[in-house]
Amino acid sequence: MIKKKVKVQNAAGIHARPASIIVKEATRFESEFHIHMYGYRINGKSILGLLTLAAEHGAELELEWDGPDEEVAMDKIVSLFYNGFKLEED
Amino acid sequence: MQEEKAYLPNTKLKGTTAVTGLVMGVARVYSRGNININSDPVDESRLPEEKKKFEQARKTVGVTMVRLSDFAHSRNDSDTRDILNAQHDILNDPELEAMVNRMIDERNLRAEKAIYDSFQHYIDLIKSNDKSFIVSRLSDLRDVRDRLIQNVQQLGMIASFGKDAVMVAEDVSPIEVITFARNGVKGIVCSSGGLTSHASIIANAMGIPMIIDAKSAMRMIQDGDTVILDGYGHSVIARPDEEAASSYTRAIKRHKEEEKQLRHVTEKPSETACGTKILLQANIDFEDEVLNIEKYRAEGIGLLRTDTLLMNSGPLTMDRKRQEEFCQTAFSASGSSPVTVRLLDVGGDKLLNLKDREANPFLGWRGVRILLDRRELLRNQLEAICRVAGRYPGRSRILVPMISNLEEFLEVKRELADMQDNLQKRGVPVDSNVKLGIMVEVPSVALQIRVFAEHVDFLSIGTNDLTQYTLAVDRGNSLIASLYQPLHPAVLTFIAMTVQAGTEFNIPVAVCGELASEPFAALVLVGIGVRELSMTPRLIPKVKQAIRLYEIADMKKLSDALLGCTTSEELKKIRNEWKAGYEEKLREQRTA
Repeated sequence: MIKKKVKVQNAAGIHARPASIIVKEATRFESEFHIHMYGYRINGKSILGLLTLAAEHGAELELEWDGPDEEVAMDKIVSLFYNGFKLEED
Repeated sequence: MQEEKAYLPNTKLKGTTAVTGLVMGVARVYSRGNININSDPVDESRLPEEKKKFEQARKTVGVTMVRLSDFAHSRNDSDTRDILNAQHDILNDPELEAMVNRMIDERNLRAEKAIYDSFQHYIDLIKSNDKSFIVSRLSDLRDVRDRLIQNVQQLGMIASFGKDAVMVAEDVSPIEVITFARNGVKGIVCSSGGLTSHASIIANAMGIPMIIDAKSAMRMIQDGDTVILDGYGHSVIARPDEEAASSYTRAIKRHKEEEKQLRHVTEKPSETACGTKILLQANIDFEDEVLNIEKYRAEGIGLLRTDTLLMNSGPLTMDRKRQEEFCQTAFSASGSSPVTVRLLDVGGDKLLNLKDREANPFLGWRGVRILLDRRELLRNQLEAICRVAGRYPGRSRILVPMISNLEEFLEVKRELADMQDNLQKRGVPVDSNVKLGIMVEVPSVALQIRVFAEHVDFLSIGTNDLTQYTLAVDRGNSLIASLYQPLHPAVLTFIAMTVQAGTEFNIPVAVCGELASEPFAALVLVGIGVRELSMTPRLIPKVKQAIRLYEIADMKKLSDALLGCTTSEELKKIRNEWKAGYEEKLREQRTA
């Protein structure tokens, strides 16, 4: 299991679109994904969970991945936070 | 004025037969009403069923959303698309799914109540944060909830109708027809609708008698009424009296005799009285239907519609494996006969429910136009077909829908060649002899058919669309339903031109529209020179029966007469004269 702290960089916070982007990326990985914030722990593959966090600009979250592909998965999600949830074109 | 008269016994309503047949049953008035949650717990034994309903509703709603989102994308409407994508994620939320199922199990709830409460749980949590940027999006959440509940309730309602149900509705969607079919509904009566809407094509494939355009149906028929749906008489009788009921019984007996005669014909070769071979093939929409190929002795598949795969798998990317399975099933059910796979022909009225969104869907983004914009979808389809074609060499034809210019065809041809190369390089066996042809359904193509005939391996005439484009008659518009005339001389002229080009360039010409399945029209088509007809397999014996009774010369007389018609009255007269003669021939045959 690995953990990493990230800050919400984009101005609008995690509203529907970023939440949808996080879920789409996260569900590509096999490992379990949880997010901690203000003592809450939610399933990072659940868009409803993400929305209940109502994470605004500057909010600090802890990402927790657990499973065979946890390293790659963590990198992917962390970079999403850093580039403000812009989906890379594939 | 005299509305009380509405419920008199033996009320006869006129309509138009979309799927023929004769059934008596109990009317079930069907409407997509307001949401009203039933909170009563259910018996323990019913819980698995409630969970299944939720699962089914989740799938159906998901497909609709992905399709709408895909469409929004095509219109560069990124806001709508984002909302729909987020809604789709909500629908597939693993926590939500678990919560609904848990509530059903632990609190013995109906699916609708469990869905409502699960969403409420999240809505309350989100509200408690009091952050306006999220709270303002709660309507999207409620929208998903309501769609799910609505779908669950429909499923529940239909399942409770029992085997005698005749659905009475304003109109029905293709998805609803499938739901009806799976629940053993006996017949469908719609107060609006056009003959060749996809809903009626599906009802036809599933063998559910259907009357459309019965304008007063919703007013004159009450839930629970006994009704006779008479597809032969283009009518519905509500609350039949004794006499009507007994004449129904007599008619059923007569139809059974006729069916016996038909079963006999089924085993005979498909040729005219003068011995010309006519290829009668099957139109296939669903896996469930392939058994009918053998049952009705179709010689292969003239039109394998792949559109229905979207319905089960979700359309963003069509699952290649699913397509491969479907093609595999189709090929293996067709003996050694050819199989024509039509590339995705969505758009227009087909399943998309986009009527409100595109101003002119039939002149819009559909068929090959979508495929060329969505190369992955096209390549996916070609790959699935080529892989299966490689296993059954010499039997495959690929049909490109909605071609309106030559470049479109050449582009698909290039994609096909690339795909074959690509597969070969990867060591996948391919059939280098896969035939590629086009649908002739746009008048410009028919007018310049020789330009196309030079390049294609075969031509297939889609009479439904060719008719509506040639006559400028929306086939789904009940106000002008009488103007929709597939046997109009202008349409027949286009068909004749196509046949002539086929002869000149030595390529096969088939007709795969619903027209081919009507005995009179089939004779006219053969008279014009068509030698391949493809139709719902169930209707093959009727067409074969007619073809076997006439010589090519007789049929040519018929088609020449129709080509010379100047009014629809003349057409009607010719058809009626033929019909009288034909019925006489059949009677002779029965007594012989």
